[in-house]
Amino acid sequence: MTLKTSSKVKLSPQRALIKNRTWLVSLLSLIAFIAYLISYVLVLHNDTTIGSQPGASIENYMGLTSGYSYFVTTIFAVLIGLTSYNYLYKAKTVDFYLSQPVSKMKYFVQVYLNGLGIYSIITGISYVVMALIGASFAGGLKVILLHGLISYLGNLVYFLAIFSICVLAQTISGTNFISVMMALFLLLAELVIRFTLGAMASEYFATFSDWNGRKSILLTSSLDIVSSPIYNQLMMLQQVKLQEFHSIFIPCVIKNFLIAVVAFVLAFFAYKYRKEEYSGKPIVFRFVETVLKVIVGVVAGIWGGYLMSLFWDGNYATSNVVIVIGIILTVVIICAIAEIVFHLDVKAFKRKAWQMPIIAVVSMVVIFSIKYDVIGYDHYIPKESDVEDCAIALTYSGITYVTEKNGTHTTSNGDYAERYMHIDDVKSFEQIAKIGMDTSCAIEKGEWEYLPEGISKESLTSENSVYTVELIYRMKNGKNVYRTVNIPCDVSDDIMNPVIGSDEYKEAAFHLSNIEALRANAKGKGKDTLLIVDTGNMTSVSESTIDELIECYRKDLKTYNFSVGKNESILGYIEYDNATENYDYLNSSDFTWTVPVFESFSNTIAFLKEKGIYNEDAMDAPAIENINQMRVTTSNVMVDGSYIDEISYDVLDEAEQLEILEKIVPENMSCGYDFWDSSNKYEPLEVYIETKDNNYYFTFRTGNVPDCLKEPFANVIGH
Amino acid sequence: MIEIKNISKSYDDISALGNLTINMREGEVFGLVGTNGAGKSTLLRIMAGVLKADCGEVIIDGEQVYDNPLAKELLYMIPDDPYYFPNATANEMMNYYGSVYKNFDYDKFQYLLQNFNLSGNRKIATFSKGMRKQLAILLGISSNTKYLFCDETFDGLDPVMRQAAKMLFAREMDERGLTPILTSHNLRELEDICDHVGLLHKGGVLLSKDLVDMKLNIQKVQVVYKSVEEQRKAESTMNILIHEQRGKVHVYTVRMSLAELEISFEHVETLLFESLPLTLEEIFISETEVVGYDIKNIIQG
Repeated sequence: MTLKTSSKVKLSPQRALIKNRTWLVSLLSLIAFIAYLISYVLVLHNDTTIGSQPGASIENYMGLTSGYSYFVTTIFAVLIGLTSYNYLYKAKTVDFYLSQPVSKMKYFVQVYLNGLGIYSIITGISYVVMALIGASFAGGLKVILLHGLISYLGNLVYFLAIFSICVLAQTISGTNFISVMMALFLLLAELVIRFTLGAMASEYFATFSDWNGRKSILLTSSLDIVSSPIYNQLMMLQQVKLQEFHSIFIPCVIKNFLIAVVAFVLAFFAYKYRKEEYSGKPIVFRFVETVLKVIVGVVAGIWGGYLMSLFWDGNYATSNVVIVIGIILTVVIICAIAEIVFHLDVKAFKRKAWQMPIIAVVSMVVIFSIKYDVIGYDHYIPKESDVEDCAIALTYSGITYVTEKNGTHTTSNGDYAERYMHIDDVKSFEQIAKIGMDTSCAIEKGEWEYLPEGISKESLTSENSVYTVELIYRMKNGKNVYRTVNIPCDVSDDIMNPVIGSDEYKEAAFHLSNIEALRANAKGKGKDTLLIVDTGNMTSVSESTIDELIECYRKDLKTYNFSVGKNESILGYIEYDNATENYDYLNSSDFTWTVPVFESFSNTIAFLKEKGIYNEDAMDAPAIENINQMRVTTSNVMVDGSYIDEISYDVLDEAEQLEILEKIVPENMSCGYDFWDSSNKYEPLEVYIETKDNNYYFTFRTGNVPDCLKEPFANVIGH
Repeated sequence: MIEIKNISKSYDDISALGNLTINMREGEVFGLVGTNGAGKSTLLRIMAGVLKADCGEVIIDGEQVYDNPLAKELLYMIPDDPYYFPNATANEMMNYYGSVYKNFDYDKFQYLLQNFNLSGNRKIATFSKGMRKQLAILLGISSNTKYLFCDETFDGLDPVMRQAAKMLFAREMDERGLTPILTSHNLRELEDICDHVGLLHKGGVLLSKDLVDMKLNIQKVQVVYKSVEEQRKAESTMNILIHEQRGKVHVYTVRMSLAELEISFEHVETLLFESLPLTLEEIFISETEVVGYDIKNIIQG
């Protein structure tokens, strides 16, 4: 036999795998090119801060707090993960690979490492190129490379978690379609379950807190099992703006890494013990069918019962029957579909029918346990000894932009309280909490037997009869408990004052907790200005002026408490602003500090007068001889559940004008809502006074309306 | 040697193999025949270490085969529908197998490609089914493994290619001691190549014998007697398996050696006595009818 010489190329296993996955590598390279490079160039082109912070561009775009980078990584992980082991799904390819002299588990690891290698190399090259591009715009190559490296490593761990879960999905499935469904299930089950429990809790718990997505379903638990890297990442991105980055990010990375390890180990054993003849069979392991069916069936059953009850217009008790019917119907349908999918046979719908009643019962137990608060969520008050400290804030809060050196920002009074308020008088706090929880249960669930002493049912049925507040307990085990409760507006001052009058409450409620840090961060960048809101006078001031102002304000706050906020009028607001030309609250050092000035804030008032910023005329009513026009109108009044048409009354009689001038008080302006901003303080009447030089707006304290207005506004007074 | 001991395999409730025991010696061509669903492919896949038997063991040259690279280095499996990488050419598959089988002979492969008129640079997806099977055989031969498992590989090849493949096997057996194991549902395919044949039916072995032994002990003769009495005399001394009569011509298939048969007819007066060649089919039918199986349908495919 004459043998021809031929060129031979020995392929290492990894090279062979890459050659066989050329289409995948090409697709991922294309995605990387578009998602990383093209998009990055476009972002840089529009980035006006690039010159000052070269690393920030890559950090913001692809960094550890960039949802976009995790989204791209997810795409990579799913594509690589769900194409790695699908040779297991056809007898042809199973014969091809498993008849070769390679250990089965060694091949499993080779394919796994191949997937990791593909991601690492493509993404690594992309990050280096991005760094070079970023540096070409603004220099700072080393900084950018460092930021890029950190981002790369963070994303790598996240990739491992998603990838490992997809591999696990592949090894327990027998077809491509089922492996995709399985991967979706494994990645999203936790999200769906938490969302379901959250939705049910939100619906049925009277004190459920959905404050910026921070829920505590179980009371407190030091156990935090997370199975979905997607859920883990979403929580990290949501919480990173409230807490120090490293305290959020490092646990997130550790959890993702653990998920990756667990998923890999499970996939390893699933691959080892799966029977090769099951290629083409939807689910390879019988018990997985049962687990899937139970979880999907229970969750679907809960939703089925709940959604049906939404369409039911009957009473609370009969809605239970509707829930049961909804659960049964849904569970039957879902179980039938599951069996059809597991066996790829329509006639298989009635297999294992005995599981249906069990799943239905579990759904009922879950939903009714929540509906009837079996765990005592709505009456839960932690043991005082288990609580580190607390915070309280009204839910209806204005947006407050507060930026800090590390770039995080809070967007509401609630966020601010969570970050800065640490009330350590837990006993007094819990007294308030109890009243709030009992009131909420009375109003939301009709549990009037829980109504606090001294509070009548009638007083709670009108609008604006309660303060809706968020409560936070920071537990000593590191967990937080959140509740949203309703505190009656006529709650005793003696109960509220210890908390509302505490230094810890006031420092945070009046946004003094981080004022020094904000000012230090803004130093030299913007201009200090002071605005007296009621007059619209804005003036530039020096740094020392603000120092003095804050000192005076803090002195005045010493005497502030719930009683002061409830009873005293607000004379006006001061707004201290430090802003750059571009005035961007979210991404720069710009900030605003807006606080009310009460009648008793003598130090602050004296200070403003001394500086010539306090306009006495604006606070006091004009002299009657200067008045050209006086008109009284209603303002957004709801009577018996509906808004009434505006009533207007021109005050022409001088005697009536005098009577009105004696009783008017400055109109309350909003500067962020707190206990001081109770609309119960004032009547829903607006007094407009026009003089030659100015226009004024006033109102009346509750119960202090002049006699001349009682008849024209009889339907409105007191609402 | 390949030892298969008490192998059983089920797919859920369906039993594919039941307590099967069979040995395959080196240096022989072993043929496994049976109808569809007899368990041939299952057995071959177990032998190749692709499937794990529910019980029993498969030992190749002293090594358990399942998930054992050492044992799998000794074998190469050609399935009935071979798999190739998408868009791969023959040369690319050569390179791949070269990385997997350390004794792969690249030069031999190129030589064989040429001789079989297959292009090394043409995409395999454009090959006909027969060409894909040919390529599989060439890759298998070039891998230089000791055992070559062929699952219905000859089915679907044209007579010329079939003959070429058989010659190739024969040469490899001669030169380096290749041991092919072939499966087919067609006995005629295996007749002129196999040394040993096993018949599978419903997951069990009905028969496993050397062809030579089978042929030695079964004879077929065509006889015309002078008289009925001569017929009785002859029949009393023969171990008759099958007796067919067409007019005065009697055709017997008997379990006897040729010498024994001749002795039986020594004192019988006949007008015609002729020994006829037996096909493998006839041998099998004869053998299995004895145990009560009508396997005409089984082996005629």
